[in-house]
Amino acid sequence: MLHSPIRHNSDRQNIEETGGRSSHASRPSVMVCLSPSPSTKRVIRTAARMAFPGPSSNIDGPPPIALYVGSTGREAEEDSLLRENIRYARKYGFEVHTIQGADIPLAIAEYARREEVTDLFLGYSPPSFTLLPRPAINEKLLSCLPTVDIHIVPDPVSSSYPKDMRQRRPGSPNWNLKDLLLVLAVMAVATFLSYWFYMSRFSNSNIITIYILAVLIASVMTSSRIYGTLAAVLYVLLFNFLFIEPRFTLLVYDSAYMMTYLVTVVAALITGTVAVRMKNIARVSAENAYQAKVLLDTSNQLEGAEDSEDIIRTTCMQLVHLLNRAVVFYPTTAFRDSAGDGSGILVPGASVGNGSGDFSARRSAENGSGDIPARGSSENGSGDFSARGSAENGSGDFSARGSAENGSGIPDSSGAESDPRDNPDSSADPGGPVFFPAGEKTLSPALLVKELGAVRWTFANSQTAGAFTSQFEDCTCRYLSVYSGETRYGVIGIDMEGHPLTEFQDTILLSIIHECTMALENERMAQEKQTAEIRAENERLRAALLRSISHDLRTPLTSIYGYACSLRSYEDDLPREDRDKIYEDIMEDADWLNAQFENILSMTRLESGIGIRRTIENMEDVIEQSLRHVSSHHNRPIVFDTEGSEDQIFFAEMEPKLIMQVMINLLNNAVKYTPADAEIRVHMERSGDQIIVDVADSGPGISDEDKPYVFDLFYSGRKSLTDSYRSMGIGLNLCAQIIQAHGGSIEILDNKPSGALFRFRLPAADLNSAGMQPADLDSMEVLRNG
Amino acid sequence: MDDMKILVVEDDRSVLNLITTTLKINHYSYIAASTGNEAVSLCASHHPGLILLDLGLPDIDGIEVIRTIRSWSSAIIIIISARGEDSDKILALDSGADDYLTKPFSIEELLARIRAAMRRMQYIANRDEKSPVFTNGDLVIDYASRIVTVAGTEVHLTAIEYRLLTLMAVNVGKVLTHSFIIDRIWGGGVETDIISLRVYMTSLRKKLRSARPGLNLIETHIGIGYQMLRAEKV
Repeated sequence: MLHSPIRHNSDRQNIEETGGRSSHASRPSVMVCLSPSPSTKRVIRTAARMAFPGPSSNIDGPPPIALYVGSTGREAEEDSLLRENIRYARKYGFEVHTIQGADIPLAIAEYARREEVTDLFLGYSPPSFTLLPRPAINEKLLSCLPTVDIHIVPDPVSSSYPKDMRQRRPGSPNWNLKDLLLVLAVMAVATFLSYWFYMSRFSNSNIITIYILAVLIASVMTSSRIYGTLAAVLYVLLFNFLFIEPRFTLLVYDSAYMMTYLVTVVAALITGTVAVRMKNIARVSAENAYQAKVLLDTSNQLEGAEDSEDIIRTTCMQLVHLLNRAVVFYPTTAFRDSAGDGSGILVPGASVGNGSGDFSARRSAENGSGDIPARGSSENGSGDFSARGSAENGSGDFSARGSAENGSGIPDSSGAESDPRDNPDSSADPGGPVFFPAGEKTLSPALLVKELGAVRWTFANSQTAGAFTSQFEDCTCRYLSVYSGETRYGVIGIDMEGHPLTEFQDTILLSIIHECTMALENERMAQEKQTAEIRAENERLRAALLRSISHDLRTPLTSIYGYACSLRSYEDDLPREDRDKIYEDIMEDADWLNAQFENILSMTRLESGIGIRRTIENMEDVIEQSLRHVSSHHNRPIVFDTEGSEDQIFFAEMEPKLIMQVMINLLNNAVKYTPADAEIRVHMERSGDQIIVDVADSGPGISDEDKPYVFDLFYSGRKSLTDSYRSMGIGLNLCAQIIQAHGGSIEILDNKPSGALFRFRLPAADLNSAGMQPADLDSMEVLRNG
Repeated sequence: MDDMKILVVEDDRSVLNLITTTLKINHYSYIAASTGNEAVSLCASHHPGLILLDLGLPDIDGIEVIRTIRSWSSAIIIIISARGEDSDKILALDSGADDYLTKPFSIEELLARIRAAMRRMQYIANRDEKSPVFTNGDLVIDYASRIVTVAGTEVHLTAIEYRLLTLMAVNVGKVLTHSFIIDRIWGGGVETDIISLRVYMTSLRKKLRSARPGLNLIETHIGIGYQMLRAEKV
């Protein structure tokens, strides 16, 4: 399986990779140590084979880690080899972490222990160049991590490493004019002082002390050790030239001075080195503190974020604040329309000036599996970002909220407080990219259009692309994918302004995006959990409903079936009136079954929302058709009047089938629960902007103690009838649900002098706003008889 | 119309049995088909005056059957469909069906529809194309002088109301869909025209009713359209 032998330093667990997996409960937790060495790629490949054993193994659990320990304070971008290796590791699916630490093995060991790494991969470390040979990294690691499998991958090119390194760092060290001048200035001051000492006839040792102090100051104040060395050399030359006999020559008579020079140069170098290291440590700890603060800040803000848009906004504002570069975010929705025909919905300028670019509103409108087709059908299930968006109650304008809050949330980025909508370049295109300018710096949409390829590639491959990366290097922005597993949340673009990020910025950028992903993931989980709970509740209700329905439907079926059987067998033996009773019962049962069936259908329609189309209807027509329906099934006269509102128009916005269902249920109820001679009356009137419909009967009425429950599901008012099949109480509950869905209200009152009165109110439609101008009616030509 | 035949197209055996038994008891002569193709060929050979057509047929779509039959026959077509399938009904009505019956229906409903269809056939057969006067119960429309009277009282209508009334009078007994009416009155409609139509129709009915309280010649079919009923006694 492996092309190169692997030396297992751990004797206890001398297991092959494949076997090793079975010894661990789950996938091995792999960590690989990165170095600038070209052999690191080999190490990465070897580790990847272990981390992803199968060709198509699914990534579950934490991704393998690639760790780089920066110790000398060398900036990563100065070392293209290291960057290449980091990129290489990312390509293989490793999560790259960079930490700072002087003691590399200790740092690795600490990290490995914290991440519960089971397999650690190292390249063979070349001999150290330091004066004091330190123990090899692997030996030290072994003693620190007794329970971890440490794999040392031999490095066939390690012999060329130092030479290679020297070649790879041309012109090193970089001479810095400022530092150089500083060294010269310090040495000049020291020389003046020394000259004064010399004139004052102080001993030479004082002069030496002055110079050593100067070397020390130069070391501390400059950025590299090389300036300390330069200062030391200058010191020797100056001291010798100016103060040692014979003066103004570089000759030395007293050979004892040679010893003095040597010792003082070494002392100067050591103090210089120590100073540089101290500076590095100070810098590293400052950076660490800053990083910790920024991350803490970010996670605090993310914790307060209400929804995914808020999370994205917080993240992007944080990035703007941190990097002082303009940032753009492409939500998942931006990829949905564009990928199909390439027509470029992404074009940000397309709706510039459309200030009401409401991110969330757009989301809610898009109920599909918002994902680009690059990943094909396997994506259908996972791209639910936009679908979830619809469930969210995000009512605010994304960009407006972004600008409103950034003043308080992010103190320094005052420039970003300008409302992005004022600036056409930064208007939030609905579903398109969202811009986060850094002060005056914004990204031009025209420019971004050119880089859409990189954006799509980043999104499709969940990788980083753009400036200073291996993909789409000619872009001005760097694009980072915000994703977790199979779920993609979008792409963040950062204006690189032609300068790469420092290693520190890079690390912090990735950490923030990681935080953001976690927050989005948590948000998604919470949403899913909520959805699951609602679903479970619905399931419970549905089960109860089904039980009730199946019981209640079977009872009348039983009676119909039984009557049909007895008619077939004994029709001739039955007296006339018994037969009539049977016929009537069969019809009644069938009617009842039909009515319940309609109720169930309406309930399903109301729940699913399928086939619900609201129109403006004439309530009079709806009531008349309901009356026709009911009287065709029952032989009961029903009075309908609009007394008191004869000249009114009863138009209301409704789904007419559902309102008819309400009327039919109320009327059926009245017919069912009242004696045959009781009067049933429907009255409609208009009161202000409401239409009030009363369905009243002169039956026994409903007792006060039953009234609060009549609209409950499965409640049947007549306790005495509970055992009969008429106990299915979904009718009135459905009425209440339908009326509520129409923005109305329903109540139960007492009819005078006796009986029940159901009253519901619906908001009347405003015909003017519905497109019907009053002028249409007024200007109509009245026909005159000729 | 004693020799008129009724073609019943229904694939469900027991519903077919129910309909044919009812027709037999009421002394209508009928022929029955259980597939669309059979219906088309029976229609061609027997020339029925009335067709009761179930939309859900096993072989061809009921809409197709209507279109095929309509290509040569002017027989009255009453479709039978389940409730909640308004779009099917509208499509069928726009394809040439005259009326519909919703399952489950009572025998009385079925017979009432057949009687209404008979009246419509009678009207179509007897109407004098040249006669400038339309009479339907109490309603009289004099096309020549554009005078509408209800029970002898003149009703003043606006231009659009008059056009609505005459459109329904010409198609008396037939269910006219919203889009059909809008297309004829306004010439191609947008969404708001349905609301306008409702306003005009409400106003028209109010005017007719004010002349003769209790008169209900125009029936509303919620979600589908309007129908002028042929009064029982002419």
